[in-house]
Amino acid sequence: VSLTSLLHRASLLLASAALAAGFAWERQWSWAAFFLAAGGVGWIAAQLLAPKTYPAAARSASNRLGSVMFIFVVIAAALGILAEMPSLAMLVAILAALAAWDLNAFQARLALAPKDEKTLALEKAHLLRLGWVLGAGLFLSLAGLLVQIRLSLLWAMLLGVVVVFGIRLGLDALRGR
Amino acid sequence: MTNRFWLLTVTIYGLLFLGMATLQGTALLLAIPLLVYLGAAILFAPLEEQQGRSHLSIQRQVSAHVVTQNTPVQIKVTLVNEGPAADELFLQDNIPAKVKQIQGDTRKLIPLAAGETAELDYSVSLGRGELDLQNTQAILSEHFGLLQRAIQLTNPGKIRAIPESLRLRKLTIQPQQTRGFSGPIPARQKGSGMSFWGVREYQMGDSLRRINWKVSARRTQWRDTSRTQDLFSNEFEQERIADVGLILDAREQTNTFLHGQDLFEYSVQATAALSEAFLADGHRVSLLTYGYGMSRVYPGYGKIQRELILNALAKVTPGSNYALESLNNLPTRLFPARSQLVMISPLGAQDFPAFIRLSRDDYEVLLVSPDPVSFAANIQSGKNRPEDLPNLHTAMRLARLERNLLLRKLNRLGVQVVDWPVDQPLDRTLNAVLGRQRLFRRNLKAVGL
Repeated sequence: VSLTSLLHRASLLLASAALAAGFAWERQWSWAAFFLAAGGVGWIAAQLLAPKTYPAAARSASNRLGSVMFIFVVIAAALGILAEMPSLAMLVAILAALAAWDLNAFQARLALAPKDEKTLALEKAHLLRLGWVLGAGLFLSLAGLLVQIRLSLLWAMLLGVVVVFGIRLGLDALRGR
Repeated sequence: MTNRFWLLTVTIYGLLFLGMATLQGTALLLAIPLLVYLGAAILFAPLEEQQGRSHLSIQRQVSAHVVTQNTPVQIKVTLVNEGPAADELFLQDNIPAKVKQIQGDTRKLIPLAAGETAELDYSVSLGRGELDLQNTQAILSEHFGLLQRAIQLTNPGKIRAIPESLRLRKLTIQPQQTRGFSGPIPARQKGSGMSFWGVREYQMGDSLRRINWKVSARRTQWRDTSRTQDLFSNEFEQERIADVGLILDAREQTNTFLHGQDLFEYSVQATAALSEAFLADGHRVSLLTYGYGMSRVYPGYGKIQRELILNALAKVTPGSNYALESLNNLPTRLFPARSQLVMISPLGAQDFPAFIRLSRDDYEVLLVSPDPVSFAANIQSGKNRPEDLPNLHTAMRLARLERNLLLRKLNRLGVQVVDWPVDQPLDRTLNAVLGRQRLFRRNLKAVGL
């Protein structure tokens, strides 16, 4: 079993466990049990849809299932936020779901690669970048959770425009490296 | 942009909309990891081509362009990246589904650094026909697979699989008309040759070797007291080459196709073997395929002709055409008068009149007929339910009776019929039948008929 596969299953479980923990924190036991069960079903489906050879049909089915699971967790987390469940748990669920969605697709692509050192390097590079991206996402989200500034609408709009242009300029500068 | 990109974008917009609609800042925060993920994908997305010039160059190497069917062919595709690095390269050589891959991979996922080379190395086994490899697909992508750039790299390569040739022993044919060059067929004319033809009086200039001393001695006459001796010389039968016209029946309705096995392939193999055998004997051979349309290889000799015929056989496929449903429209004018025709056909009941026409036109016809009844019986016997077997046996018996009747009628017409059960070697069947007929002719000759 490759590291990608292990991490994929672990992130699936983590997503459902985070959702369940968040809902359990607010004593919503039935919802917590439901999310745990959904996580279990997703885990089993991931096991079944990951044959060694990964024929095209299985790959497509696996990608579809991965997307469905991702959307499901995002909706559940958004509803959890609206129902005032712990934000950190919902954030962790979103991060884990994003990781699971990415790893699911990567695993399917990886099945087409020969089992050699180059593939290992590719896997390592992918996991490293995913780790950085998830870390940055977690950091920025936590910063947003902890630091709260009140702005008027005008300032907020101005800041939004600056951010959009800043991102655009930053990306262009980085891509032109 | 892939479906995953759009799904992620819609999800981010959804979360942002939800946050703003419900005035919940934390809902907006949920979108941040997704935005970072999307941003990273955009940042590392593969660059677009500049001025339509691809940074990837590709080359295909094929171990052989013409092979015998079912022979492995090694294919090597080399891609060179002359542009910037790509996180992932998915390289796929598009080969048709009918081609059997033996070894290696036709697709690969690898990281591709700037100036690096990627290779696909695989071998395939081809059935009879042509494999026209055109494009190799390269998909460059960043690590998350959200933004991809697909490139079709034109990379032509043709492989032709010619039919497998069965080895045949020397075939004896006796057309009524031969050509002017020396060859293996007795021409029914006296001249220089190997077979004894007769004896005639010695003529000035005859080689001493040709004098038949026994006959000359027997004919020695004593006149008065002097002895006059008449000399006699041997005459030999001329041996010539012949015009052989091969006719391959490629009509869909006569060629049985059952459970993935095609009787037509046996017809093609037989045609290839016969053409090789006749060309090896020095005959002038031509080929006509009769199916969806008619295609022809003009008469010729030797290795080049062999290659032309095998190439034509590599391309031929069975087809149907209302105008060519029976052999009645066979263009006999394409073949020299009174020459040898070799028809390779499983035959249909409606084909008998065509043979009457060929016999009337003084063609010497040899029919090699792959047996569709035994072919179907062999395939069906293992596939049927036990309760269906009696019906199958009855059907097979009726079909065999019908076929035997047709073949017997053709035999009476003077057609040399070789009924070939395809599970047996063609060489054995041909020699058994032709040997029998040769013996019959020799006996006829012996009794003066």
